[in-house]
Amino acid sequence: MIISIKNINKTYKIAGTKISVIDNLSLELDKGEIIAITGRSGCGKTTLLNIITGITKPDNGEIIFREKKLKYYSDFSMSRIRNREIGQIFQTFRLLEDETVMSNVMMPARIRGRAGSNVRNYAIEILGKTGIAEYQNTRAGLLSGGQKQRVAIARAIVNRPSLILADEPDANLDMETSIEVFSLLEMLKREGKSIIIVTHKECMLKKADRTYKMDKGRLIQL
Amino acid sequence: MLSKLYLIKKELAGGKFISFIVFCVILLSVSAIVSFNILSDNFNNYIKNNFASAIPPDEIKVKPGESKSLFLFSTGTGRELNAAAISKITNFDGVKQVDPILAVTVPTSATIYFFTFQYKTDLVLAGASYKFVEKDLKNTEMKKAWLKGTYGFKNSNDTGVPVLVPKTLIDSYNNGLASANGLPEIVPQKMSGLRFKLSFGKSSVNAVDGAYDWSSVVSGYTDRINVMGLVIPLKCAEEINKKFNKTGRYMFAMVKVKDHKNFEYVRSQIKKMGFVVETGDNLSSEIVKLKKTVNAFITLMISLVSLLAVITTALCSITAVWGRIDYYRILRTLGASKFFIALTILIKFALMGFLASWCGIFLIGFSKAYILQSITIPGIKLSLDISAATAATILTAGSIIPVAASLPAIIRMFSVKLDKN
Repeated sequence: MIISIKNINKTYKIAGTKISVIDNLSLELDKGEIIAITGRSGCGKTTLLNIITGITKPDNGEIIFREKKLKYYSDFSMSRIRNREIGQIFQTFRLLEDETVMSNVMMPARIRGRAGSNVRNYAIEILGKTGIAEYQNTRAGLLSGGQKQRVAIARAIVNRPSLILADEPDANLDMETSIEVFSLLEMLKREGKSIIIVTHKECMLKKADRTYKMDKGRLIQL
Repeated sequence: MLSKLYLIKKELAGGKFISFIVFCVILLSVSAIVSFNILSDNFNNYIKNNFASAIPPDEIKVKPGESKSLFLFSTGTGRELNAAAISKITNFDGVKQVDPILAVTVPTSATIYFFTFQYKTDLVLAGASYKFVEKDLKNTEMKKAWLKGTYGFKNSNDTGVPVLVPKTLIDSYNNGLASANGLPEIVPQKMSGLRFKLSFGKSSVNAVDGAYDWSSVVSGYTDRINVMGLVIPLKCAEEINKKFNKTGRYMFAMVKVKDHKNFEYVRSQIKKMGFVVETGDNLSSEIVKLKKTVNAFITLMISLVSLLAVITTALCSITAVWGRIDYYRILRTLGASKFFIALTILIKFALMGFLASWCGIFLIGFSKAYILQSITIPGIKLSLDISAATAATILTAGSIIPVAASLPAIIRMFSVKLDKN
């Protein structure tokens, strides 16, 4: 078991009214498993991913990550997990546009304090796997959407995390590029990574091991 | 570690324009503060060199009235400074404190033994209060002895009288007697603890009934009482005079007045009593006031410049941090802790402050010759030298101030939400 989410709740106060975004949600994910989550905008998908990474704190409930309870009170501990154990892919890529592709990919390793030649060689290897090795010295801002997402995927796995969270990685991509991105995620699955992907694309939902629809803060298995 | 240093280097290189502004602000502030400090030092030195004298401000030295006899010798017709006169002066409006120096009016001599060498001399003894000589007494043991009036020698039952040696006497010995007679010079700081014999009631010219010897010990030296003799506790001087049925006669008294307004009044009143008043060319209260005002103005200017530098740096740092908020957000998402990001910002501002301060000091040093040539202030010899201690203070403050000024930006950064896509 990579992650076990138990009875978490999250409410936001908007204009004095409490709105429940996550309602008593539980979920478990095994090693090498892909879970796809779909749902309408604002149903709580991104909040769920943010709770897993420690960016958002749940109101109650607990998350066991690799047999250890997440300590939301410790920024240092949560930052460490985010850096070493979780790779994140976003729909807006969140790349440092002025930096080169290689610099972007190496950033999590630099934060970790391990950016030696071994890691650099691994970065070149994964850039090769994602098909953008030739752009390693190109500024990220000059790449296309599909290429940027490949850089984001390479960056997400450079620290060899056990869990990858992909928040609508195909949102800004055409169908062909989306399929390529999903192929990359399948490749990561074969390498033993567990993946939670939030998507609206039918083709991606079909390829996941389990598919859930999120509605009013609850997960319904499809 | 090297990887983390890379991130610090990246932070230093980020937001170049704002960093340049912060650098310029600190550079100008440091240059202004250093200039004000130099101006203050030069002004204070000018006051010290041109107006200071041995008599501190607001102090009047009162001496007995001078004899008006037509002959070489007289029995003393001048106005005598006695207990009644001291009491009257003490009661004048505006008088803060009166410290009389009592003369021992019996023949006195001292015998100093130094190995096989024995030196005997007649001398004058003066009694001074503890308050007046407190600062000159070498240590606590000597202070206690002065208060008590006797000093107990270690490892014996002997007691002695503590004495202070006037600096004038030491100088006279070193520059006259010692060199003339091939004797070693005396180091004033090393005199404390020296033991010798005092004889009361006998000198080379006279001896009276009841004369006796008493041990004595040097308790330090003083430059406040310029007599060619020794200073003993006031209590002892009174007792010795009493033993030989002599009335108290004061050599002089130091009168402290409350402020300059009373200074002139007290001085004229004492003069009217027939005493000799000595104020010398002392640092008058008006000049002290001017010095205080100028220094307060300079301190105010330094504070204002520092405050402006802090505010400008704080605003610049907030703008700089805000301009890079997306970068910090990405770093946080990728696992950088808030502490690490804060540390990189603090290091950036500390380094920038240090470099700007160093450049400020360098700038003043570099333009020293030009400034000295172009600025001439009548009566004041300008010196633009920056001492090592001042430079260290400026470098430290120059590094700390930007760090402190960047704290609001860091606090603001801490509150940024990371869940923005």
